Parts: sequence; structure tokens; C-alpha cells
Amino acid sequence: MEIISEKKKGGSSRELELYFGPQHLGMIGNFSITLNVRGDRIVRAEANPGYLHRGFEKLMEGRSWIQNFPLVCRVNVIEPGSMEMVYSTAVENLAGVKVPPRGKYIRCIYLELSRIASHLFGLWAYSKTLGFETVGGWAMYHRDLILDLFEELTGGRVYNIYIWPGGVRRDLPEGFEERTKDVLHEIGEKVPDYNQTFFENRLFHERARGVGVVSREEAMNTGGTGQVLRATGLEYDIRKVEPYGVYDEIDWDVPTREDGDAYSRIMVVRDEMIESVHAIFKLFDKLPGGPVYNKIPNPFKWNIPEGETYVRLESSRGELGLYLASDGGRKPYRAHFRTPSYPHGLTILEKALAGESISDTGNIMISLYVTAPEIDR
Amino acid sequence: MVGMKIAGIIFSPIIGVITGLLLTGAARKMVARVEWRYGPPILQPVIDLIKLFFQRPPSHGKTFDYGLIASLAGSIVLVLFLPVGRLCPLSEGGGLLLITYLILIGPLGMALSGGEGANPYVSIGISRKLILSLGYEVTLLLILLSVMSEYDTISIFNVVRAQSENGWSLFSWPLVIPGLAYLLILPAILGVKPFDVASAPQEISSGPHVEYGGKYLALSKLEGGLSEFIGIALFVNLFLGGWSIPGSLHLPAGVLGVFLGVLVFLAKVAFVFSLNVTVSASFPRLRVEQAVKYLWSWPAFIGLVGLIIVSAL
Repeated sequence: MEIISEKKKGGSSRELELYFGPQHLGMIGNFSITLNVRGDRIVRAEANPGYLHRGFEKLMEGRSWIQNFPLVCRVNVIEPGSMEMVYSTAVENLAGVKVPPRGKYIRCIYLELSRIASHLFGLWAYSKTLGFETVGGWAMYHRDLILDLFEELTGGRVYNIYIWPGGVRRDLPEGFEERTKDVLHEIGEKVPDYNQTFFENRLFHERARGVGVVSREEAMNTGGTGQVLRATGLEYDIRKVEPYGVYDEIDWDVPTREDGDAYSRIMVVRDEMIESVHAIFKLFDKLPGGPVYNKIPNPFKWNIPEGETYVRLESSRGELGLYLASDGGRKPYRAHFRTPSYPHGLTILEKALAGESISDTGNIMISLYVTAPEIDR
Repeated sequence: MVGMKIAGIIFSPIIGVITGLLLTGAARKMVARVEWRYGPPILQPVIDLIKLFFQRPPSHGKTFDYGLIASLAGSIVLVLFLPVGRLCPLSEGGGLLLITYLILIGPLGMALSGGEGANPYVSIGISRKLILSLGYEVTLLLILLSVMSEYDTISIFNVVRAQSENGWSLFSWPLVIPGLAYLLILPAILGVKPFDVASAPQEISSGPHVEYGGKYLALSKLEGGLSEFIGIALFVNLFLGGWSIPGSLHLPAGVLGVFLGVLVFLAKVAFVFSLNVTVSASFPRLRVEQAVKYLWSWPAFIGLVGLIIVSAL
């Protein structure tokens, strides 16, 4: 068959070229990794992006400021909330629009809910790569409960388009706070079960400890952020470093681990979920009254003054940035995303895979939280 | 007696195949409930099989076809040598030593056939399967030796008959020790989690099955169901008393007795299988070297201790 290329390297050591994706049961997302393996060990790995390139950055130049919202949330499928937030903050910076306090709080509640949903999705993907569908099934069920909340709040389950320049589209519905708390309590009650079956499972420790180690220097040199950096013991979270929204008005912690391996990264994700749940309760406690958005001009005639801006925030996968420039017209002049999966999935993944067993390809990839649509855009 | 033998030769493999498929379906339902899903109907594997047999897949050559058939044939022959309840067409003639040979024909036929497909994932899967069998074969041999030396026979039929008179081996000293060792390696023999390294879908794209489609996939699924049945049937026969009912109850003679014996036997098979499904639903997959390391530590140790105690007493 043509797809196998075998290279004789003298003696009995034979290098095989394997394709992990895009047609592979272990691949999650439209992505592919070419693995050069010798025996069970990966000698070299090459990440091949581009299977989901939709040209969003160019498309955005052809649409008005408001019309871009359905595009930006599709840049990342698993956590569209942070995409809406980064784009609308950039538009607000350029246009000089202010957000009322209640709008800021609701935005943060919504962002933390989508962070939990995204982490649950990530937990599903991760446990599936280890062949542990049980916990994955639970995580998906709990994510669905949060999507139900989104459906009630915004009308959409996945692509919500809820955050808007000047605030959020509409106020919380009657009784939404209680229902959110009920859902969070329901998920919280299952945390001991999650711990017992997965996070404290000895086989999980054996599969994940010491696998795919990324040192702090390596991560910092190659653009690693989020869990990749926090798993090496560095308390780096944009919500703390450069607070946006109302993250500086509530008290919360940045969970970290020390070892920089797959285990540390997944444990950081677990701790973050718990921290997010606590943060939502604190945000609800402080939720002020008042309007949820400030009026913006007629979107069809909205010319934003010339200028450029760079906005960054902490998405569920790491630092998410957006460079947005306006030439004074009704459409963006240039948009460019800095997505966390780009360095994680292209440079760090290739380095982390070298020397590991082929059994751990998916394990390392998902622990780095590689989300293919985000890389390709 | 001859009529019974012919009936056994016809019905044993059919019972094996159907039980294997139904148990696979039941396992999917059970696992789905553990994962808070509804899951497919229990008959889904049978429905899939019927559909697959109507497809015309491409072949990769004669060895590809015959390897698969040899693998299935090996498993069918093996079932004939195992007592399925009181249906035991060839088990009086054959013995445990023959079973240790026949049990390898399934994986070897699969290796022969998969190797012809020349897909790298198939070769990785097959090498994993053989490494894993290296892990449990030693322990299995120790266990079989213990049973043979305790009952002073190599006939599996005599082992079951002795148990129906003296109580089940699993609950009698000293055979409880090899029984425990068998329970520990049973998930590896069945290839369920945490030992499904050979067919790990997320790692090597289902390994040996990756080149199969249509009828080939159907045959390999049949073989899979049958070899699951064999792994458990061997345990039930050796340690859970085959067709015998606990206590002083005895099955009636004649056709009704044979029928009831098969039912009792299948109930035990289903029980042991559900234990393995529970294990499989609560553990992630091991790496192949971790799996072999485990198999050569506790189960092999317990098996060895069992053999020493059995032969000393």
C-alpha cells in the first residue's frame, strides 16, 4: 500500500510512518499527526493542520461589525463564549463603548459557565483517549445540563451569540439564578464520584504521570499558556495578570501543579472547574441591578473610528488574543486571532510527543487541550 | 448416545456464537447505563451481523480470507471440546492439553489474515495481542496444571463431573487459589478493558479489525463473540462446576436434563461476563507493557503458589 513508507535505517531498527488522523478513531477534531515510530516509540511527530481552514480572518473583513458575531463564535466550537467576549471587547475598545456593571457580571457568569462546559467537553475527550468512556459519558451529560441553561438564556445551545458590544443581549430570565445553582449543585454532588472513578484511579495515574512532560522554560519559549503553563507551577492567568470583566472584584484562586506532565494538566483542569463553580456563586452574590447593556448606534450605519487594538483574555485552553484594526469604516480592516491551540498543537505537541509511546498520542494531545478549529480558523 | 453427540456437534457452536453475540449486546447496554446513556438494543450485534453478511467487501488475497476462516474454525473446534452444559460432543475424548493448543489458533489465524492486509495498525495490534497472550498464557498453563493435578485427569468432562459430586472448585481448598488467578487474568483473556490493548480504537484504530469490512468484519465479530464465550466457558467448567446446581439438587436425566444443564451453564457464563463488564466499565486502558507487567506479577504469582500448594497437598 502507498500510505506506508518504510525506511531502512540499518540493522533491525525500522522506522514506520503512521498517520494519526484525520481518519483515525483516536483523533478528536479535524487534525492529523504524522508519527515516525520505531517499535512502540515515537521518533518524530509532525502536526498537520489545515483540515478545517475556513478563512474567518479574511471573511471578517467583508462583514459589518455586528455581522461578524456569528463568525467569531465558530472559530472555536467547544467554547464560543470566550470568542464572543474577545471580539466584543475589541469592538468596544475601538468604538469607546462602556459596559454597565450588571452587564459585566452577567458576562463573567456566562463565561465561567462556558469554561465549565468546555472543560467537561475536554474531560470527555481526554477520558475517551484513555478508553475510559464511563467518566466521559458523565461529563457529556453534565455539559448538556449547562447547554440547557444556555438555551434558556440565549436561545442557542452551542453558538450562543450572547455577548454584544455594550453588554449582553438580554437580562437573566426569571428564576435563572436558582436553576443555575441547582445545576451546579447537581454537578458538584458528583465530584466525589468523578474523583473516585477517575482522578484518584490508579490506572489513570499510571497512564498520565510522567507522560508528555513540558518544562516551564519550554512552555514559555514556545508560547504555551493556560494549563500547559499552570501545570508547571506558574500562576499565570490573564484573569489575574490583566483582569477584565469583574474578575478583580471577586476572590478566587489560580490552581497550579508542579510536574508539567499530562496528569498535572488534567488535574489543573479539574481544579479550575471547581474554582469556576465557586466563582459563579460569588458573582451571583454580588450581582448588581441596573441595565445589562448600553445602547450602540444603528449597526447598519455604525462607523468605528480609525485605530487598532489588541485584546487578550483567559479562555478555557489558555491565552486568547485578538488584534483588530479599523480604518474608520463599517467593517474591520484587519482581524487576527492569537489562539492558544496554535502553539500547543503545532510546536509544543511535536516536542512533547517525541520519545513517547504511540499509545499516548491522544493522551498527550488532549492533555495539551488541542482544538483543531482554533488552529486553522 | 450417538444422537446426543451429533446434537452436541450441531448445537454447541450455535449456542456459543449466539451467547457471545447476545452477551456483547448486553454488555453494550450495561456499559451505556453506567455512562448514563440509553444504549443500543441488546440484539444490535445480531442486526449488525446480518447487515454485514449482505455486503461485498474487497479482499486482500487468499491468505487474508483463509486466515480469518481458520481463526473462526479454530474457535468452533475449541467449543466442541468444551462441555456446554451437558452438551459435550468431543469433551470426553479431548482434554485440557488439547485446549491449550487450540486456544492459540484464533489469534494466530487473525494474525495470518491481518498481516496480509499490510496495514501498520494491524501489525501493531497483532503484536500487542501476541505480547498480551504471552502475559496470560503462562498463568493459564499454571492454572490448568493445578486443576489437572488436583483431579488427576486431563479430561475437562471428568473435572466437571467431579465438581457436580464434590462441590465447585472455586469454593474448595486449595483450588480456590488458581481460581482467583483465573479471575484476575480473565479480562485479559477476553480482551476487555483495562486489557483491550490489541483492539484499542483510540490508539491503533481498532488494530486487527481495521482492514476488515462487510463479510470479513462479520466473521471477525463472530470469532470475537465466540472467543469471549470460550474464555468464560473454560472458567465456568473448571471452577464453577459447569452444569451442576449448588446444594443437593440434581438435574433430571434425558433431554430435559440436557436442556436445563445448558441453561444453568449459560446463566453462570452471563454472571461471570457481567463481572468483567463491570471491571471494563470502571477502568481506563493500560499500556501494553503495563498490562504485561501486571499479568506477570500478581496473577502469575498466585497461579504459581496455587500450583505448589495443590501439588504439595
